Amino acid sequence: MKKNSASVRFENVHKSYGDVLAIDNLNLTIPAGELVTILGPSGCGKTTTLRMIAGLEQATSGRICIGDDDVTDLSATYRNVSMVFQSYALFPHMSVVENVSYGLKVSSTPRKSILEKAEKGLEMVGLKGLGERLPSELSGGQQQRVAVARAVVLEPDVLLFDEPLSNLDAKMRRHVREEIRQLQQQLGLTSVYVTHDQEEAMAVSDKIVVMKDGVIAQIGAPADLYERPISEFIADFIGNANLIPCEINGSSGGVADVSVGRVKLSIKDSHLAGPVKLVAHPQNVSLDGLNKTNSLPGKILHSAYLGNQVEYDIETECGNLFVVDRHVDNRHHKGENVSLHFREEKMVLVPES
Amino acid sequence: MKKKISVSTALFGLAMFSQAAIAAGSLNVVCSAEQSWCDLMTTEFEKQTGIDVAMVRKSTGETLAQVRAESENPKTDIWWGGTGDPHLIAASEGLTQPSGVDTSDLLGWAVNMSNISEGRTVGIYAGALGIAYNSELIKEKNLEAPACWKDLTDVSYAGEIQVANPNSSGTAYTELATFVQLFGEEEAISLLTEIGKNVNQYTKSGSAPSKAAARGETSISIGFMHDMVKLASSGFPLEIVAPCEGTGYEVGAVSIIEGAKNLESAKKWVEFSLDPAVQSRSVEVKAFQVPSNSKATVAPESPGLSSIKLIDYDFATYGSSETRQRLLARWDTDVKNAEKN
Amino acid sequence: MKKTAGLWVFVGLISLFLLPWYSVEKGLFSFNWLSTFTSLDHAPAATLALRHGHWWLIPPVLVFIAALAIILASNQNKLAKRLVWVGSIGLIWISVQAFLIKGQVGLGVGALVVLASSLYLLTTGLTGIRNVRGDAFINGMIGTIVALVAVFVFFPIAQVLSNAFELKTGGYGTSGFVSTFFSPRIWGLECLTGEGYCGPAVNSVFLAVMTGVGTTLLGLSFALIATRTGFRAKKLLRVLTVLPIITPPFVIGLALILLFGRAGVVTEWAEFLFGLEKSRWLYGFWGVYVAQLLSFTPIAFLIMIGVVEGVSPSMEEASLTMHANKWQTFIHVSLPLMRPGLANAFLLGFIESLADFGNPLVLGGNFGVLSTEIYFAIVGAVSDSGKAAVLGIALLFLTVSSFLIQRWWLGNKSYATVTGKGDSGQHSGLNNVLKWTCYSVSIPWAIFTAVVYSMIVFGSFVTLWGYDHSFTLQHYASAFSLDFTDGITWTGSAWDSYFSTLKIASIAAPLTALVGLSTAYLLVRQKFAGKNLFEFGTMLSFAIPGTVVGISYIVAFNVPPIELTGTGVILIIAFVFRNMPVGVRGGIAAMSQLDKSLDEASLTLGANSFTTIKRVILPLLGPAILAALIYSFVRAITSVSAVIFLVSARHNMATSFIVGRVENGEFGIAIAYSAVLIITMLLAILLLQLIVGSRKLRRKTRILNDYVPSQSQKKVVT
Repeated sequence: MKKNSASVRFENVHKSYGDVLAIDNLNLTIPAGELVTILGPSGCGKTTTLRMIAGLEQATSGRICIGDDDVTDLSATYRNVSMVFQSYALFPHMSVVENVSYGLKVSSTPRKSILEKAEKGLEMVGLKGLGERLPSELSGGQQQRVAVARAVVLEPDVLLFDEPLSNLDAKMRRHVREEIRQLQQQLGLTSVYVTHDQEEAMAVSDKIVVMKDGVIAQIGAPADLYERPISEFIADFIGNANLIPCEINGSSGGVADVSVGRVKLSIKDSHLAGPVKLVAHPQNVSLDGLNKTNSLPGKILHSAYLGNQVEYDIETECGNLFVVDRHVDNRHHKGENVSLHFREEKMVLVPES
Repeated sequence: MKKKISVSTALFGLAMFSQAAIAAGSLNVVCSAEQSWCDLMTTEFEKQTGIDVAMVRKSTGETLAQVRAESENPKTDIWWGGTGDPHLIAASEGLTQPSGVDTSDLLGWAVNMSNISEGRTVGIYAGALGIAYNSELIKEKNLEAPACWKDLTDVSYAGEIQVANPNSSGTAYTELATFVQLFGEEEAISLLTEIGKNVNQYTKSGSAPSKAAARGETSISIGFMHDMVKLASSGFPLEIVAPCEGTGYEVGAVSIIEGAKNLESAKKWVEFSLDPAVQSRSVEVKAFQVPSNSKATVAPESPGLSSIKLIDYDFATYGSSETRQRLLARWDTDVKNAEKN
Repeated sequence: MKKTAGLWVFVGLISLFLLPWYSVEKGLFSFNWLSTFTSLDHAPAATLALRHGHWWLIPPVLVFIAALAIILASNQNKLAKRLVWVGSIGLIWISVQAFLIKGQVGLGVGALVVLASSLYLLTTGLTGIRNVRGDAFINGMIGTIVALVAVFVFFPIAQVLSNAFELKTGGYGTSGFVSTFFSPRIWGLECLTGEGYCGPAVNSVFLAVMTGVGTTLLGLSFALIATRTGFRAKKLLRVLTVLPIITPPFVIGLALILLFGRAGVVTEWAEFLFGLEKSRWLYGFWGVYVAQLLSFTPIAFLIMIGVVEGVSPSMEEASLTMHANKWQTFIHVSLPLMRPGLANAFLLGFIESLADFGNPLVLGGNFGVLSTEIYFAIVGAVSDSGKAAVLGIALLFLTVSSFLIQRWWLGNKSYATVTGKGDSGQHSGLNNVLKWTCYSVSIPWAIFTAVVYSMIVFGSFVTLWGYDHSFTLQHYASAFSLDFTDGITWTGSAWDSYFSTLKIASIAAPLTALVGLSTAYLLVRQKFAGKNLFEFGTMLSFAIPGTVVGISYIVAFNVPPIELTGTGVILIIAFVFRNMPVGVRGGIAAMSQLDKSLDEASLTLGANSFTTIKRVILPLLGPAILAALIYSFVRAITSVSAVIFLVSARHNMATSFIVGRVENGEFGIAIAYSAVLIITMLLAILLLQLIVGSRKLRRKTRILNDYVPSQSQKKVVT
C-alpha cells in the first residue's frame, strides 16, 4: 500500500498545562518506516507526546515536523496521521464497515474505492464478513482490530497507537501485538506506540523511547536498553535488574575494576567515575558459586517454581537480590545457603542516582 | 466553513424577514378593550374607510409601558379603549397628540377628558363601579345582600369579599379614589381597612374578583358594573348592586400616539369611534359600557348612569401621578398592612 | 487560511458595493431596491459614501480593500495578526458609527453581512495566531455565538438594568438601588414568625427550591419507569408527562381552580362525602406549587431520560457482580452517574419556577413572587421601571447563585459513560422497593395529570365552564370556522394568530437547537479564554423573567441601529435566546457522557470539526437534539410573558390571543384554542421524533429484570 512513510521530528518542544510542565524540551526523531515505542510509567508524558503528533494537543513552544512539513500549528484534521485509541473509540452508531470507511468518506475518496479499501482493510485484520455488525456486537479483540483497520486504510504518514492492548486479555494481547507488528512491517508504516508494558514494548519495537517526568530517559533498540542501560531508572524499568551498590577500585582502557561486597569484577566498556551501581539481570546471576572463587554468599528467602524456571529472593551482604535460575531440577529451598556468581561479561555499571 | 455560511444565510433570512413592518395607507392600532369588541371595530373601520388596519390587543398597563418604550420611534398610531387614567398619563407625558375631533355631541364626562388633556384623549365610553354578589352562595351562607359600601365592613362577610390591589389594577385604584372622594381621605382609609378584614384576596387584575364571584370562588366582589353585567348575562348567578352612597366611574378613551406614522388614518379612526352608529353596536359584543355620544343607543342591560348615584369624579386630581403615589403609599401602609395582622 | 479569509473579504466587498446598507422599508424580498439602487434609502455603503456624503462609511470600504491587499501580500506569519487587526477595526468602526451618528435608519442586510464578514476575518486571523486552538470553524463558531449573545442578551438587558441605577433626581447612582435592593419589602421573613407576608424574593426562593426538588424527583421516577421496568403503559405515561409542557399558560391554573377551588368539583365532593369545609387553600403557595410541578416535571423528565439511558450498563453489571444488590447498585453507582442530569434537572426546575409568570398570576393569591411583582411594577397602576429593574437584579442574583452552587456540586468529576468501546451489557432493573416507590409516585401523578387534561377538554365543549355544562361546539366554531363558498376562507377569529404562531415557532425551534447545542459543544469540548463568562452569558436570558426581556427588547431594538420591533424577527430572536439555555443544559449533560476520544478519533481520521459534529456527535446526541427542538418549538408556542410586549398587529401570537380571552372571561374559546394548540404540538412532536429518530447504540435495548422474566427478552421501545 504505502511506499514512502514519513519521519517525525520534535525540536525543543515544551508542553505545559497551566503551571504544570508535561513535556520539557523534547528533541526526538522517529525515522521513517520504523515502529518506535514510547514507554514509561503513567504521568511521564508519553501520551501527551503521542497526542502532539496527532495534533490533539498543541505544543506550548518548539517545532514538530512530519516528513519535511512543519505541522506544529496544524490541527489533527489536516495531518496525515491515524490513531488507534485505548478505548478504541469506535463510533457506536455506525456499523463496522461504516467505521472503517469513515476516514475515507470524509476525505472525499471516490465512492467505489471506499468500499474496496474498507473491505481490504477488514480482510487484512481478519474480520471479513463482519462488516454489517455494530461495534457492540463484537468481542474486545475484534473491536480492537476494527480500530486498527480504520486507522490503516487511510494509509497515513504516521500511525499512532495509544496503549491499544490494555483492554485485552494476555493471550489476545500477545496475538494482536504480533499482528500489529506484522502489519506495520508489511506496510512499512512509521508507527508510534505508547505503552507502559515493557514486555510489549520490547516485542514490537524497532526502537524504544523511555520517558520519565516529561523528559527522555533513554532511546535505543530493545536490546540496547536492556543490555546497556544508562541509568538506574532504565535498568529497573526495562530489565527489572538488581541494582547493587559497588565501588570502583580503578579503571584503564575502558575496563573498570569494581568490588561488590567481597566479589571483584572487571567490567568492560565502562567510562564512569564516582558512585555507581552494578546492574545485574536476574538470569545473569547463578547459584553455583560454591564451585567457583570470587562468589557472594547468600540465603534463600523465598522461591517460586514457574515450570521453565525458578525465581529466588536471596538475602546477601549487598542487600536482597532477585535471581532467575533455569536449573529447575536442582531446586534450592527456603533457608538454604547458596553462593552467588556474577556473569562478568553481562554486567553493566550505571551512575548512582 | 460550511457551517459559517449557513449561519450567515440564517442571518440573511432574518434580515429579510425583518423588513416587512410598516406599510403605507394603513393604520396600526393597539386596542385595550375586549378582543371581540376590538375585532368588531377593526372590521367595521376597514369596511367603511378601506384603510388596512393592523390591530393588536394589549392591556392598558402593557400599552402604556410599550408606548413609553417606543416613544423615540413609535410603531403604533392609535390607542383605543381601556380605562382613561393611563390615557391621561400618556397625554401628560406628551406621548399622545391632540386629534382635533369635534366633541360637541359628546356627554359631559367625555368632553371633560378632552379638556383635561388638551384634546389629546377623548372619552368613548363610561362604566360605573359597583358591588356584585353570588346569589346562590349568599343564600347558602344565610348572608344579607349588601347595598352600600359601608355594608361591606360587616363582620359576617369575613373572608367573603374579593377586590383587586390598586397597585396593579386601575379598577381598584378607581375604587380607592372613589372612596376618598366620597368619604374624605381619613375616613376612606379607615373604611377600606375595615373592609380589608373581610377580604380574602387582593387580586392583581381588576376583573378577577367578579369572575371569582361568578364561579363561586368568593361571595362578593368589587369591580366595574359592565363586567358584572356581562358575566350575569352569560348565565352566572351574579347580582349587581349600585352602592347607596354613590359611586365613581371610569371613562374609556382613545388617543393618537405622538409621532404616529399614519396621522390622517388615525384621525379618521377617532372620528369613527365617536360615531353614534358605531358606538351603538358595542352591545353586539356584550360590551355594556355607556357610550359617550349622546345620540348613541344604550343597551337595555347597561347599568344606566342616570339611574346610579354618580360622584363628580375628579380625573385631573386623582389621575395625577402625585396623588396616585401618595394614595397608593397610604393604602400599602394602612390598608394592606392592617390586613396582615 | 488565505482561502477562508479571501472568501470573507469577497463576501464583504460584494455587500459593500451591491447590497443596501440600511434596512429596506418594504422588505428585502420586495426587491424594489434593485431598481432604485442609487437612492439614499437603498444604496450600498460604497455609493452612500461617494454620492451621498456618508463619509463615515468610507472606513469600512477601506478596511476591506486593505484586507484584500493583506491577503495578497502577506506571508503566513504576518497574515494572521493583520487579519485580526482589520477584522477588529471593521467591527468596531461599524458598530460605533451606527450608535454615534444620528439620523441613520436601522442597519440593513448590507451592514449585517459586512459585520459578519469582519467578524469572520477576525476569527480566521485568530486561528492563525499561536496559542489559540487552531481550527477556523471552531473560532468562527465561538465568534458567532459571542456576538449573538452580546447583541441579543447583554445589550438589551444592560439597557433595562441601567434603570436600576437611575436616580429619581436624574443621573445615575447607587444610593437608590442599595436602599431598594436591601429593603425588607423584597427580603422580608415575616411569614416565618407568623407576623405577615414574606418578601417576594424569599417566596420565590422557597417555591423554586421546592419545585426544583419536586420536578427532579418526579422526572427521575418517570425516567426510571420508562427505561428500567417492564411497565406496560409506558407510552401512555410518556404522553401524559409531555402534555403539561405543551399546554398554553393559564390553562393548568384554570383547570386546577375548577377542580380544587372553593367551588371546584373535588372540593364540592370532599364537602359532600367527608364534610370537609370548602377552603381557598389553592390560592397561594400550594396552588402555585402544584401548578408548577404539573408544568415543569416534563422538562425534568426529558433531561432525566437521556441521562438514565446514558448510564453505561457495564457499570451497573460491574456493581452487581461485586455482590451489590439492585438497590445498592442504584444508590452507589447509577445515581452518582446521573449527577449531572440531576443537577441540570434541578437547575432548570429552579430557574423555570423563578421565572414562571402565568401560574403565580392565576393562583398566587397573596403569595407574591418576584416575576409577578416585576410585571406589575412595569404595567401596574404606578409604573416604576426602576423598581422592576431592582427586582430583576434580585432575580438575577438568585439564578446566578444557583448556577454557581451547581458548578461547585458537580465539581470536576468525570461522568463519561458512553465510550468508544461497544457496550453490550444490560441495564440493571430496579429493586422492588424502588420500583414500587416509582410506581406509587408516578402513576397517581399521571392520573392526576390525566384528570386535569380531561377537565380542559371538557371545558372546551361546554357552554359556560364551571357553571352551565351543556354541550356545545360554538367555541371551536368561532375560533376555527372555515368558509367554503368560494375557495377556502379562514373566517375563524383564531386563524391569523394560529398561522403566525406556527410560522414563528417553526423558524425559532431549529435556530434555538442550533445555537444551544453549538454552545454546549463549545463548553464541553473546547478550551478557550473566558469560557466561564461565556457560559454565564448564555444562561442569562433564561434567568431574567420574560416580562423584563420583553421590555428590554422593545427598548433596545425599537430604534436604529437595530430596528426590529413590530416584526416577526424580534419574536424569533426572543425565543431563540430565551430558550437556548435548555438546549445548552441538555446538550452539556448529553455531551459530557460522550467519550472525548470519539471526537479525537474522527479528527485523526481526517474529518474536520464540522464533519465530526455532523457525523459523530450529532447522531449520538439524538435525544438531546430532540429535546431541544421540541422544547424550543413548544416554548415558542406557549410562552406568554415576553411575548405580550413583542407581539404586533401583523405578528400576533396564540398565547396573546388566549390571554386576551381569559382576561375577558371567555374561557371556552381560550380553552378550545388551547386544545387545538395542544393537538398541533403533539403532532409536531411525533413528527420530530420520526425525523430525528432515537439513538442506536445497542441493537437491542434490553432490560435485566428477573422479576418478570418473560418480558426481559422483549425489545423495549424507548
